[in-house]
Amino acid sequence: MTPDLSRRGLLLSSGSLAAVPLTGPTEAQSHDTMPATPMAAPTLWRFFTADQASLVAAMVDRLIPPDAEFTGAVGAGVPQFIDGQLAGAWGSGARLYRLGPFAEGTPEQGYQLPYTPAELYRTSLSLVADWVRGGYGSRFEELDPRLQDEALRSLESGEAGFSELPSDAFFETLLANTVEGFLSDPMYGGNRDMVGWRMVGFPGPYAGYVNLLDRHGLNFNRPPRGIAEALREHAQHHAPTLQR
Amino acid sequence: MRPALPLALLLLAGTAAAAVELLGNPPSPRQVASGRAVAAGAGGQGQQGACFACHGFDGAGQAAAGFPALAGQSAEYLHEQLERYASGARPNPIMQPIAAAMTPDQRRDVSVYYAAQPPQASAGARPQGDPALLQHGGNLSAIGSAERGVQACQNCHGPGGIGLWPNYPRLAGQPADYLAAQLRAWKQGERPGDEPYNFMANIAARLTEDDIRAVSLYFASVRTVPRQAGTGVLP
Amino acid sequence: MAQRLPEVDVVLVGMGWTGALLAKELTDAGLKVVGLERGRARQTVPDFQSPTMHDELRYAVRHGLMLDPSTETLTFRNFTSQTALPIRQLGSFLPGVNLGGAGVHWNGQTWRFQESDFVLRSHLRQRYGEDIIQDGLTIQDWGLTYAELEPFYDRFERICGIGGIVGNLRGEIQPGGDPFEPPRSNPFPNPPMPQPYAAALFARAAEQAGAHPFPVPTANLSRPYTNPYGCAMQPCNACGFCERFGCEHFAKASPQVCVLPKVLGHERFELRTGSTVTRVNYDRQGKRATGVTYINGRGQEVEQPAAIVALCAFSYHNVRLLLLSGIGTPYDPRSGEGTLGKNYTYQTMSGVSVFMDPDVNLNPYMGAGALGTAVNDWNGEAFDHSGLGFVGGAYIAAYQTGGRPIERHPVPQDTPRWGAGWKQAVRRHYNSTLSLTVHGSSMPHRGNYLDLDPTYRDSLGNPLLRMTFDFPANDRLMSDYVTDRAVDIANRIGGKVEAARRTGLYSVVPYQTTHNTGGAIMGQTPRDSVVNRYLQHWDAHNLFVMGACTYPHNPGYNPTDTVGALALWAARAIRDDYIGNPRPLVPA
Repeated sequence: MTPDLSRRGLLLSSGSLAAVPLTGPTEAQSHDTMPATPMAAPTLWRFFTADQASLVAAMVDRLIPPDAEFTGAVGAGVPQFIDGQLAGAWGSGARLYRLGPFAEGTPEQGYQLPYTPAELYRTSLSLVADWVRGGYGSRFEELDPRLQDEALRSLESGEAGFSELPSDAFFETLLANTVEGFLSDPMYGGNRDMVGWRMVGFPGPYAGYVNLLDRHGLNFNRPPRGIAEALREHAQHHAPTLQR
Repeated sequence: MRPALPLALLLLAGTAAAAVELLGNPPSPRQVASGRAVAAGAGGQGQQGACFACHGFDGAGQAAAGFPALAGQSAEYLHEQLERYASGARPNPIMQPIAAAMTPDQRRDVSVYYAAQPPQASAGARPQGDPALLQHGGNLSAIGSAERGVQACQNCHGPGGIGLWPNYPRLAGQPADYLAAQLRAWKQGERPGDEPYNFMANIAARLTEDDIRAVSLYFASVRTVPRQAGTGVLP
Repeated sequence: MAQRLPEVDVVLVGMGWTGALLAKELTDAGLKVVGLERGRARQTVPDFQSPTMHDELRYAVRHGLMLDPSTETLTFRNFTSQTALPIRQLGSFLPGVNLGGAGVHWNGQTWRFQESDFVLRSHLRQRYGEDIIQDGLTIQDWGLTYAELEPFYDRFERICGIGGIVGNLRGEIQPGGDPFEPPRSNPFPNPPMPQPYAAALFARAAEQAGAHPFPVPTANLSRPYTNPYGCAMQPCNACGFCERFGCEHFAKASPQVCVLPKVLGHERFELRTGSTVTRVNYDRQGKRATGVTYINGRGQEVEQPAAIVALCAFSYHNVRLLLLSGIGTPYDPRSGEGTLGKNYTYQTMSGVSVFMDPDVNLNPYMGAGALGTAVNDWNGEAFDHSGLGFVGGAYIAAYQTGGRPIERHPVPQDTPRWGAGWKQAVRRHYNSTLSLTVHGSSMPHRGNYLDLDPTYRDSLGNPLLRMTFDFPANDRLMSDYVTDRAVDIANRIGGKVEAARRTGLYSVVPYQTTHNTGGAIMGQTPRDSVVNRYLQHWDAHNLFVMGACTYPHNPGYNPTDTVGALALWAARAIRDDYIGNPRPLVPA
């Protein structure tokens, strides 16, 4: 089995809920200053309150901001993706060992908090909102992008001192979920219009390339196609005109 | 009669453009025009072997006669088939002399031309058949058959057999007789496999005559609609 | 009160690779075999079909085919001075579940170990003197030789339809293959797959560096093939969804494709899914296993008596079951006494990335699990360790396993972790980054072991396994040395080269490999091992323990080929020697 031992792989391949203060640069540099795109169509949130959704949207659009060619996390539907994940089995702690006693471990021992992902978000979002209001005197969404980034860096480094949980545990979860939402199959609500796949050039789940392997350097740019899109197409084709 | 070529080029799907590029060149108007001339019978195959007579200038084919649609197939795939007809690797008494009479450039250009034609929305007569047979064909397409040891067609040919270019041809909307004939030819060894993998010869050998009729009918019944952009979010 | 069933000839605990192989070999020998699988049944059709199988989030990120940690996990610590805590979510390694086990979601990289690996302690002592082995390393001989195992490697590779180029045919070095591989009695049953651009770039650079590149032996089929059991396989189409996924094409060797078609439905075989074995029943006086107790799918406790018990679960699950059953003497790291849980080893991984010019198209999604090119010039005993201060080694490979973008979007180390700079870097490097894997050996250390956790329990109330592990200094030195070689090759490819070295403590968070080995090791005497050379338990001659838990150390190769070969080797001993005269096959 092949690990991805690039730094990014080490940071993100653990899935989510990285409670670990991971090594590597904690400062983000050269963020652009584009404001967060406002949410397009009204969304019926399944997990977030409207306030929480607004805060999450503002945060994730700094993590993956829009640029001239490719939209950012909000345009890609990342808040909707996270909302769906938290409302579902993953959010309620599926595939998480939840028996106690809970104790603070070493970074090498991984996530040891008693929170499910849903509980982690619920708890953290309210802490983040209060902390931003206390420190900056306004809502996160209203801050200048530079200050938004500064606040996110404080969450990332753990400097934002929450008593209930380490802020970096929440930040790493949010970051991992944002990347997932930007690059997962669009049937989960993110990667809208396959923007993430188009950005990197990933052709999606329909795949078969053995005849192309030895065409080295091939400029291959087939537009991607998603799972649900395909399933829908299949279902649609199941309605032929029948005559007995 | 003569369609406006520049307009046709403007209408090229990104799909077709990229497929052509796989052949080594972006499609030039001259190549498409040259390919159209070959389709009209100006190639080495002559007027008697004019492509359009069976496949149309629009590449829609003739379902009733079992002539397959060429529109929307990748240039790569079409070119490979013409080469195989020409060499006899894909035996066919009609296509072999036609393809062999073309020059390599003509085979390439006519492939580029037909790849550039957008697939036509299917209209008119719908395939008719036993609903149970259609359902069985749909299952083979989407799930495969554990009993036969056959994987789903759409693993390679895309959802509903819409094709996964450059190498996996579109099956959707092709004439049932054409599809069934190919499967039978593979099964009976009359159409050699695609060395070294022999994917289809291997799969067809496992299908029963019933399976062949079912899956051919299914793909023939797939409505060929222009691809809709959509995110396809699951509830 | 457990329901007690009639005795059967053989009960198998777990139905992955080794369970399937034993089921086939032992039913062929005329025995009645029951296979117990804690998960559910699943098959290529319908369970692995695409596009639903090609869902990176569900399967690769959320671990859809893996054992749910909420039913059973391990606790972990680096050192005995720490308190072990549960691995609450999977990370560093990914145990499978359900029929076929990890044989469904593996990549298919199929390597033989070197001749020296089987006699490592003797070999090192003879070649370099005793001092080469660092203090604390509990390296020992395996109790069987490569030459004895070779026919079984050959047979397992035929069962899998492995593709490759032979490098050493009965002692003659062959062009295009691995000149450092041990002698093979036969060429591979299939040719390799076509090598992608990244592999070709690596091969050229490796040759310039004086190394000897060859295509990695692959269990992703390169041709239509029918194996010696009569199971038909189909060729791989390089979809790029192997590891963590099931293969929809019948193209990746797995128990489902290569063995089970001839086992399921056999009159002498019965598969019972949903059956979680909780202990091996043991007659301490008679020194034999009497059968197993399991919880069935309805939650009832069932006792299945058997004349032969074989543990075929994933590596460390076998160790845990022995511990829970009280069979053998648990290892004590303070005194060095006891053998059960000793010599837990892993794999020492590092990597090198080459960030090439953005107009280089590597098309990483055109992949297969074992697609790639490797060099073994610095693996095992292929090179002279004199004066290096370590033993062992690693292969360096340019694999192209797939381009699934959530987990694979390489960026240089000076890239911001998020924001516009990150986004630009992901876009720029996705299609033009060549990754080298440095796949290193793991030497046993007296402080690295497995035992039962005193605190944490599984969903049935039984103690979890406790893992105590960190990379020994020997392996860190080895990894650095071979990583330097990889950097040298990478520099010849052209691009910005960055190494991800084996630094810091072992962590269970980032994925590394699912090559968990040792803990119920094989050896020459009951004083230093749990099972003998036939994988027969020293304390119960009708109890056989399969899998990588029997490796006294983990060489710098993927373990599955040896897992399969050893299972066939043990099956041969059971068939030809044990059944007619049940006894310890090696005098204690």
